[in-house]
Amino acid sequence: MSISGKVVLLVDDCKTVRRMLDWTLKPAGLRTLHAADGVHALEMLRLEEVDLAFVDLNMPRMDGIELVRAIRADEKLRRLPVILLTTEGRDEDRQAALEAGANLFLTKPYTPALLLQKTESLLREAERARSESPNRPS
Amino acid sequence: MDRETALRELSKGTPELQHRAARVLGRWSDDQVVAALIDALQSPHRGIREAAADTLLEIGDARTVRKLVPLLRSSQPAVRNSARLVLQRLANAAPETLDDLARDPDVRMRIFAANIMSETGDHEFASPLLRLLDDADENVRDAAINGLGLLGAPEAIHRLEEFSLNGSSWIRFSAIDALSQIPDPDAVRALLRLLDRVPSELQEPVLDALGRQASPDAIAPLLRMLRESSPFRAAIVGILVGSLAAHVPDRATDGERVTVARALSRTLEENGLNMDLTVAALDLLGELGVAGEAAPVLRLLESGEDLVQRAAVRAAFTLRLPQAVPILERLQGRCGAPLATEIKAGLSSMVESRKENS
Repeated sequence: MSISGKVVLLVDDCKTVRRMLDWTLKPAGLRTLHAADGVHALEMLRLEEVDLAFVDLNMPRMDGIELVRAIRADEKLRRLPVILLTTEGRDEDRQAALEAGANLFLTKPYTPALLLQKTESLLREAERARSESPNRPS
Repeated sequence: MDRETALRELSKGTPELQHRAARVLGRWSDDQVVAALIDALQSPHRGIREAAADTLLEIGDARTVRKLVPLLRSSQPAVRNSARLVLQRLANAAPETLDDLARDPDVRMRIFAANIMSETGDHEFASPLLRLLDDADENVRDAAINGLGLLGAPEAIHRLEEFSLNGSSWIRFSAIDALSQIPDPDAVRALLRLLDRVPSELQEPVLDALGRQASPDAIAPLLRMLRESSPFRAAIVGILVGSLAAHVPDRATDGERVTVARALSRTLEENGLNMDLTVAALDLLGELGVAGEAAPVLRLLESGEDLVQRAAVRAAFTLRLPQAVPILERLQGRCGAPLATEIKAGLSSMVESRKENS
């Protein structure tokens, strides 16, 4: 299965981080959308077809954990794979993120190769889950 | 609501009353009120946190800043973020508190210090951020690099150029990106030097950074890369037709015009640009006046995208392409009135000019 053409939402209040993720994901042919905080991200998720989201933990208005909770509580979005990114390696954050429903919790610094590998594997997993339950809403 | 009632409602009222009390308390600003508002920043309700934050901003003094700092250690990201947002607006009330935070033994606090200083937009914080470039922790250095870019600090250019050449790809990317945000010719010169010095995987970020700088000084080196068949042709074309389009016709020699037109033509033939850049590329192709590279203009006269088709019509007339005439005549019969009028006028002008030339 090729992941080229899949859409990834990048949610971070830092433009540099969003550009870095763009640069990392582009070689795999992924399309990216950008949101600067959780509130903006939810609006975009309700308007656009998105296959995976990278979400920063610390953001204004709505932080990453609140956003993951909102995604999992939404019938249409709840199966969206989410990777939570942070510079802080607090155990309580990791636990809260995973309890909220994040698929992965990654602490900086991470290499572009690692990010791409995790993205590919989550997208493939989501595709497999969809093909095994074709009648389930995506 | 009087002060005592507001304090009581803020701690024990319904969410609606807590929200109202948080706003009302702005009329007083004694220690007890500030402490109660800081407690309210830890509320699970976003609306209450936002109301408390707004009132703390109104009070906005050094005492508030000092009392907010401990919240950055909260186990709740929402509480840390509320404190961070207020602190970045009030940082100037107590810069020494942020200086202390930048020396905190906890790495996370030093990252917060760098982020808060950056978000103030105040150049006064460039010096402490420069010091954080020597921090032992990579994430702190990365936060400082980002901050120096956000502050547009020219004194950081030399260090940022060094960071662009050494260390992890994450740090190098951040440093290149920071250079793109410093409005100074030295930052452009640093990026131009980096074009030849960074490994190939970082050349595209350097090109993007030059595009954001939008300095005409980048045109000559970009044209050289085109002549040398750079693998980043599409990215270079994106910059030339984007932020630099207005300067290219004046800066390019006749020979360079052909190089640019050829690169535009090949990129358009490969559909390597988004719609906006396709329109800009067609306009620039017309302006460069190199009729020998006009094949994509003819093809895009049949484009289904209205804006692209109009740009192709403009380019066909600017370049006075005789081979476009039959296509334009066909198009005239089936397009909308405004474009048909434009085509009619353009075709008449081409006929007139041919008569004059013969």
